[in-house]
Amino acid sequence: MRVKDRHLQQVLDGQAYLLFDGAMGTMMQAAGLLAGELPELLNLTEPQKITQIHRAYVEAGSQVVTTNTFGANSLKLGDAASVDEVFAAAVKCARESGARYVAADVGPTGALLAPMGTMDFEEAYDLFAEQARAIQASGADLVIIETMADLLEAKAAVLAVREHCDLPVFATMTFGEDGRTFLGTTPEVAAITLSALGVQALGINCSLGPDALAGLARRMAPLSRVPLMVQANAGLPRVEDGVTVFDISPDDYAQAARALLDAGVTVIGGCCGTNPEYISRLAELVDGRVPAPCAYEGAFALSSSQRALVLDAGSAQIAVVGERINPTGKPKLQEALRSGNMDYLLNEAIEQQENGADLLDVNVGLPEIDEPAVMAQAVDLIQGVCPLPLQVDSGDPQAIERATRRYSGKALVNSVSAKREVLDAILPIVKRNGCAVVGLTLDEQGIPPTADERFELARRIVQAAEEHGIPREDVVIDCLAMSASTNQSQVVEILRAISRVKRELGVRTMLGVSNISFGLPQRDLLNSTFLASAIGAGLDLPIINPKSERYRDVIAATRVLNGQDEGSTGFIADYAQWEDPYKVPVLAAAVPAEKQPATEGDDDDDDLPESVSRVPEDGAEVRHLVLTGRKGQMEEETRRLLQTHDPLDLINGYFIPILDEVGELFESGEFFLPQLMASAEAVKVGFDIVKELAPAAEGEGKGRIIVATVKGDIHDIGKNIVKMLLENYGFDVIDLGRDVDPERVVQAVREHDVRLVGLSALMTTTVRGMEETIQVLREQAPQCRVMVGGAVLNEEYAKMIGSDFYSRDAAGAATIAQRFFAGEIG
Amino acid sequence: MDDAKRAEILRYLGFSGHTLQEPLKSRIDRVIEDCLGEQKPHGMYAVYPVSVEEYDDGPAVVLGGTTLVFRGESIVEYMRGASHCALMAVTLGLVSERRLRSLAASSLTDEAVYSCVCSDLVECGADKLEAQVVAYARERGLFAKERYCPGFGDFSLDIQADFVRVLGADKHLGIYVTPAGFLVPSKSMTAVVGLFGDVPGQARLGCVHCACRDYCLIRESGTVCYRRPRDA
Repeated sequence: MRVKDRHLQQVLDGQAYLLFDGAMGTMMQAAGLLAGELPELLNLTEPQKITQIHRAYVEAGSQVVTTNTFGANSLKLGDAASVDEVFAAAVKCARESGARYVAADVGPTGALLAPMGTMDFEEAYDLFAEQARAIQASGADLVIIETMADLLEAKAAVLAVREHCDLPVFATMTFGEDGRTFLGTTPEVAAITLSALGVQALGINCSLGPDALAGLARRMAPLSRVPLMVQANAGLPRVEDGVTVFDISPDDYAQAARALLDAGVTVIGGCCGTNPEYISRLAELVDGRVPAPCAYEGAFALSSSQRALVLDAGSAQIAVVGERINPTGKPKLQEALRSGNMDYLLNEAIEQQENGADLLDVNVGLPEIDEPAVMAQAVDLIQGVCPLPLQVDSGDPQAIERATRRYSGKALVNSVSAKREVLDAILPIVKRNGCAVVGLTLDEQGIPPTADERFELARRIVQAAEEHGIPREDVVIDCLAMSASTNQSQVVEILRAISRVKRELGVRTMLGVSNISFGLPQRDLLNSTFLASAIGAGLDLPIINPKSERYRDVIAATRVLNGQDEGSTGFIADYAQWEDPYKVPVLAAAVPAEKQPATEGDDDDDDLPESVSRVPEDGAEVRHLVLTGRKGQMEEETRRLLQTHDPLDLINGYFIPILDEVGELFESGEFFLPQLMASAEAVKVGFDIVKELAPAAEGEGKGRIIVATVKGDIHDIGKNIVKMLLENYGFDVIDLGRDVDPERVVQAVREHDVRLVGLSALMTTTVRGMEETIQVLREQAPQCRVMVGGAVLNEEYAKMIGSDFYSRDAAGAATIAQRFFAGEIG
Repeated sequence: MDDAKRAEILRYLGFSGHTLQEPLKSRIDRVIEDCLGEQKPHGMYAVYPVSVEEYDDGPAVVLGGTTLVFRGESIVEYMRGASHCALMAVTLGLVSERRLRSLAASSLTDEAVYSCVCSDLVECGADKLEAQVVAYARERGLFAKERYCPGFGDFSLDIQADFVRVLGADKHLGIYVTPAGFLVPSKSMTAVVGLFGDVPGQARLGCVHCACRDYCLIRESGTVCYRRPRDA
């Protein structure tokens, strides 16, 4: 890294203050810039005006001027100018002001990253890399990445700049009144993630005035390894007659800025609404002041984009790692991974979260799938629905690289071991992508039997990590549990190893407890006892199934014992009225009353629609459940019917006719959409039971269909309802998701040998994507038929764009599919 | 839950007096209550001088002090005679987007209902914000026309990216625009409000003027997508 001079180095070491400049935008608007015009072009058309603004700040005391390049990326500039020429001109304007340091400014791309938006991570990375190359050639002294609301976008920028430019990098994010960025990132999360990514200074800019930002900066200080930077607005903006006005005076601003300095901020400047007057007040504040020592506390910290997981240094706190997303011994999950059914994974993630997991393990290691691709996809999608930090669990360096690179936050990588080869392959990835790492105490010779030998391997791992620039608070050691049935004498060794590693190496520990009982009866009892012992020995991060009540009970109890549940308030709230399963009630032998069928004496019968049942009498109950959307009772009723009907007959003679009836009620307007969906949900429960008990039945395969929302379109509820219905009719549905490129559709058609594709699009602007996709399919997969649907389509338009079938709604799509696979159409 | 309120919220799903049985009715009510408790609209507006200019290729609406130019018969007709134009934007924020995605993974039925409530909240938020614009106008002796949105008539959605940027809704509200012109969070809206020296004519709203009238499923089910006439 190139550091211009000694003073700048002192700033980077937290030993000196650095004063930036103030707002550019407001000054340019005052000079006649129209809202919506590209300010960056002024570097080329009016360089003297720009230099003048910079000079005003230099004269007010700014040590650093920020180039007028906030939006200078090729997406925003378009044809107006090239990134290279804008940066070259901007840095030149800045130099000519006589500033001590020139900071090249990089703002957000303006587009939102997937999965919330449509821009791919790599696309954003490329936009930033282009800027970074221009900066490297331009002669600036440092880079400031600012006004970031999206942590992932900030990461793309930091990686791109670090990989194409050797200047110091500062990164600041912008927070709202609720203390979060628009995407939900908190100051703690920002500090944890940006620190781990290796920026030279991090902090906050824009959005709020200095008062509000001081509080946020204080929250960042203990979690930031590097100096803190804040550029506050001159208060909150008001729009008067089309002009944005800020309401804090320079004096009040400086008063409030004192709190920033007291919070530990050492790099300071001004944002919207400020001008040279504000900066000169700041200059007076820092003049002669010496920064306090860095407040970093060295906690173990991970983050997602919205949530931080922090175990304070030296504290007795445990965090539960959810183990469910791991295909080993889970046939349903294996099937889901093979068929690309990501919803299954997402549901597992959400359920574990609801059951108290603090961190989720994500393992998709199956030999027959493309692990790097699936791991990256899994991580992307889970991040979109679940706020927990993730543990990327894989032995494949490529999978780890791809997943952690685009992980929004600071992930935990599981794992390295003490094998030299593994350490050399994986530690650089961990460091580069800003992660923490789990080390397993095994080496080329396997898992050693004694605690001391395990300790030695742990020490080796920590040392290697530090050599790669990974501090020990980012290292977690897993001493590896063996089965008590085969290695009984080793159990105490594991516990001793945990204690020693914790005490002497000062690192956190992790352990998967369920191995301990392999081969023995009453595994839950052994596992939960071992769990408690291990926590007592110093285990911080147990890997368990959070859905198990027994484990949850043990965790809740240990949190009382280690003080994490302060005042035992959580325990008292949750367990005061708990029924201890060991205490058998006196009347336990009582037989439960005969279950009444729901239809008897049920007034709701009067509310059932007037349509005629198409199923035999013994299907009256299941028909009632489906029509009223009572999915809760479907399991029992399905099992009951399976006692007297074979699975295919149940599907074809009962479920499908009932679905047909529901479809017609919907078509005729008697049912509206939620009723159709609630009915379909009920049938799905029944269907899942049939599949579980009689997997051969579904192997009949009524037909395979691909569904997708076309490129550029991010609405998928219509497509999802279609999928839901099609699955209930027994079709094998492959859902490619939203915003799907035509090429991906073709690829999937080939890969899965599909003859029918369903495309959906919501808006007139994206129907073009539909046309494109159909064209590509005609060229490259002419045997495939296409059905389309969506709010803006009609029969005519559908024909015009070349589709084979058109359906107004989900029920129509199901009918088309049935007729298609029966050979009646297409 | 008040039947009328429920009906108003569910109109986006084509609800028009259907018979709702238990347990679906309670389930729907529960989702509605959850959404109302979790989501809150945020909005902003800014006012600019406006004029209709005649160019070689036809008339266009020009907002002073900005690069915004609106083209299309409908918006020109709407704005003719206005002295000022307010740009407004409302959103539920990305929290709503995440919540919807999360619900979609576990229950599409719940998501469909939650989504409805969100849309209604955005409209309510827009009503409130529009009322502020009306008040602003009255303070200056001006009269406000009913709000008009990109997407109505031939007021193209292509304007969204510039609209959001000029207003600053990207910076202040966290609204993004995808290359295809979608707003993210999806539960967001933008609109213009024309301000006039004299009481203006009615804006051309309603199904008969809507480009989607031929294939609209909501209309076919016997209801409308917009809120019923506002309370005074």
